[in-house]
Amino acid sequence: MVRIKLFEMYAADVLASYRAVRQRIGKHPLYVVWFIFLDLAVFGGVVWFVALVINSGEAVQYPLEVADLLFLMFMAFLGKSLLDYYHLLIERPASVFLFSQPLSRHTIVASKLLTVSVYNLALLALGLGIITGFTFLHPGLYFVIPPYLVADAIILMLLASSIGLMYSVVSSLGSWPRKIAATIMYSPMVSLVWLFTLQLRWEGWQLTQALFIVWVLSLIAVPLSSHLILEAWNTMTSSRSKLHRRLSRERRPSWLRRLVSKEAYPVYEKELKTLLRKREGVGNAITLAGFVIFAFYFYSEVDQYLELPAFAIAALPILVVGLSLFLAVVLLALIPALGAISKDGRSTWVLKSMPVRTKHIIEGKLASISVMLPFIIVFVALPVPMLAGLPPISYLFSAMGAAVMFLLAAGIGIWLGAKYPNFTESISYSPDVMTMYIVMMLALFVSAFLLLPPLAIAFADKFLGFLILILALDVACVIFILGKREAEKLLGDLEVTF
Amino acid sequence: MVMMLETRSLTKRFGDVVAVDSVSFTVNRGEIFGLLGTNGAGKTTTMKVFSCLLKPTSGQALVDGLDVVREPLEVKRRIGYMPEAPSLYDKLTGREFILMLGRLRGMPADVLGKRMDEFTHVLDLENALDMEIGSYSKGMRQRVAFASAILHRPPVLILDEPTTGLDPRFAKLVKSWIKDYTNGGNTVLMSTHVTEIAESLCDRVAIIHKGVIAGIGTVAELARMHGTSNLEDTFVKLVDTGRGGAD
Repeated sequence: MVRIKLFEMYAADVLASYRAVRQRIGKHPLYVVWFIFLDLAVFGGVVWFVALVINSGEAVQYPLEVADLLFLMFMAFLGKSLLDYYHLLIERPASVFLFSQPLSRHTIVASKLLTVSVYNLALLALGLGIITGFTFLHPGLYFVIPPYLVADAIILMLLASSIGLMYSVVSSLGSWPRKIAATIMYSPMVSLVWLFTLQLRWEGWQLTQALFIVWVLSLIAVPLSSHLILEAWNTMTSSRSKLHRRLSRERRPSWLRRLVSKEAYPVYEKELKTLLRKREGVGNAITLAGFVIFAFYFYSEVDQYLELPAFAIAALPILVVGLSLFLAVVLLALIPALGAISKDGRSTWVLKSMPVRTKHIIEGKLASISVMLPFIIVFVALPVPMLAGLPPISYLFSAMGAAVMFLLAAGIGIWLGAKYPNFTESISYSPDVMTMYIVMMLALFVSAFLLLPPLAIAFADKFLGFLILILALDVACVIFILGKREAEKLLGDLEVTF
Repeated sequence: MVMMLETRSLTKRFGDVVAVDSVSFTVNRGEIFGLLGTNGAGKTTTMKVFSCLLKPTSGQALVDGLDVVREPLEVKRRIGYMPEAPSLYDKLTGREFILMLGRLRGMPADVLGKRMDEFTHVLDLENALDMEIGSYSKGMRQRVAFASAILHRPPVLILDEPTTGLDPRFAKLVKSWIKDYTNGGNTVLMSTHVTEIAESLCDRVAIIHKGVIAGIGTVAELARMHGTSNLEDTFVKLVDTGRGGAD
C-alpha cells in the first residue's frame, strides 16, 4: 500500500513536469529547436575537446583528472537536487495537501527522493547517449568510457539526490544553530565522496564499491528528513514578522532627483526594498565571486598545460576580463531586467490599476536595476584587469565596456521580459530558462559586435579605439532607450488575467 | 440621475471562452450596485475591465463618461479598486505599501499621512503597520487592500468580494463604511456571491450567469418579476433555469 502511494505521488510529479515542458514547447517551439541545437553544439564541443585531449598522447599534462570530473559532476548535481527539493516540496505551499493526507512523512519524502533521483539519472543517461551519438557520427572521436566509470556516475547521481534531500531540509530549519548543527552532522557523507575521489584518488571498481557503501549510508536522509520536514516546510512557506523602521516621509536624495522622476520614485523605492529584503544580492555576489576566482585559476593554470599560440596567450587576460564583466552584467542587469515585469506576479494589479504612465513604472524598475552599475565597475571592471596584469588604460576600457554591456543587457532584458513575461507561480515568476538563455546569447552577441571593433582598433591606436568605444556607448544608449520604449508599450497592453 | 458607470454590449473573450457576453448596464451616482453570480459567472472580469486591468474584446465600458480603453489614466484617477483575495507586495510593510500607492496617486504628503492614520486606526492595523505584509493574515491583507482602495476617496469604488476573509467585526465595519460612503454621493460597484450581503447593502443588483445578465433591478423588483420572496430564491431560480446564454 505504501509503495502504491509512493508511486502515486511520483506519477503526479512526472505528470506535472511533463505538462510544464509541453506548455513551454507549445509557447516557444522555435526556441526549443534553437535551444536543443545550441546544447548539442556546446556538448559536442566539450566532447570533441575531451577526446582531443585523451587522444593526444602523454606529452601534455592535464589540469583535471577523471576523479576531479566525477567530483565536479557530483557537486553540480548536488546543487541541482537541492533546488529540485525546494521547488517540489519545501517551498511549495501546495505541499499542505500531501502533509494533510493520512500518509507517513517517510512515504512523502521517499517519493520526492525517487522523483529527483530519476530526473538526475535521466539527465545522466541523456548525456551518455549524446556522447555515444557523437562517437558514431564522428569516428575520429575515439574514447571508451569504462563500465566502472558509468557505475560511478550512476551512484554519484543517486548520492547527489539523497544528500541534496538532507541539505535542502536542514538548510530550511527555523534557526541558524539548528541549521549549522544538522549540516555538520550530515557533512561526513560529502566528506567521504571527497576523500575517495579527490584525496585517495581511488579508481576502478574499488571506487565504485566505496561510493556504493556511501550511498547506502546516505539513505539515512529519508528517516532524518521525514523527522524535520514539517519544520522546514513551515519555515519556508510562512513569513516571519519582520519589523522595519518607520519612514513616513519620502526621502529622495537630491542627486537622485535628476535620475528618477517624482512619478517613478515610488516604484524605484519599492523595487530596491524588495531586492534588499529578498537578499538576492548576496546570492549574486557569491556566484560572481566564485566565477572571478575560477576565472583567475583558469587564467593562471591553463597556459601551463596547453600549448597555445602566443596571440591566444596574449588574448587570455582580455577574455577573462570580458567574461567576468559579462557574467556580472547577466546576474545584475540582464536577469533582473528580464524578470522586472513578471516578478510582481499576482501583485501585478497594484501598479496596473494606478494612474501612472507605464513610462514611469518602467523607469522606476530600470532605475533600481541601474543601481548595480557602479558596483560592477568598482568590484569587477576595475580590479579584474588590474589583477590580470593589464596596463592602466585597460581599466578605462573595462569600465566603459561594463557600461556598454550593462545598457545593452538592461535594454534587451526589459524589452523581451515585457514581451515574454513568465507568470508561473511555481518558479516564483522568474524568467523562463529558455528565454533567459536565448536573451543571454543575444546580449553576448550584440556586446561582442559593439566591443570587439574598438578593442581591435585600440591595439593599433588607443585614442581612436577610445573614440570608437564612445560610439559603442552611444549605440548601447540607443538600444537601452528603444528597449525601454518597447517595454512601456508592451506593459500598457498587458492584461491582468490572474 | 448621473451615470457613473456604464457598459454598452461589453464582451470579453479569452480564446474560445466568452467570460462576459454583450453585457449592458448602468450605475448611477450615489448608488451601491451589486454584481451577484456564481463562481466564473463573469463578475471579476467585468470589474477588471472597469479597473483597466483587462481590455474589452468588443463593446464599451465607461467610468464617469470616460472610456476605459481611450482614457485609462483618467479612469484610474476616479476609481479605487480592491480585488478578491488581494496579492500585495510581501516584502514591503503595510505602511510602505499604502504610502507607495498614495505617492503614485500624487497625494500631498500631509493629506496622505492624515488619511493613513485615520484608516489604519479604524481598520485596527496600527500595530502591524511596520511589519512585512508577508507575515499578515488573510484578513489583514484584505484590510490593507481596502485602506489602499479608499485612501484617495475616489468617486467610484470597485470592490470584488470585499468581505471575504474578514472576521464578522470587520465585515460589519466595511459594510457600514460602504453605506456611509455612498451617502456622500460616491458610487460603489461590488461583487458578491452571498445573497444576504447583496440584499442588505445594494440599492440595485445584477444577477450575472455564464457571462450574461440574467436579471437586473432592486431586490424587490427582481422578486416581483420572478415571483419569489427573497433574493436567494430569485438567484437560484434564474441560475437553475439557465437564463445565461453563453454556452
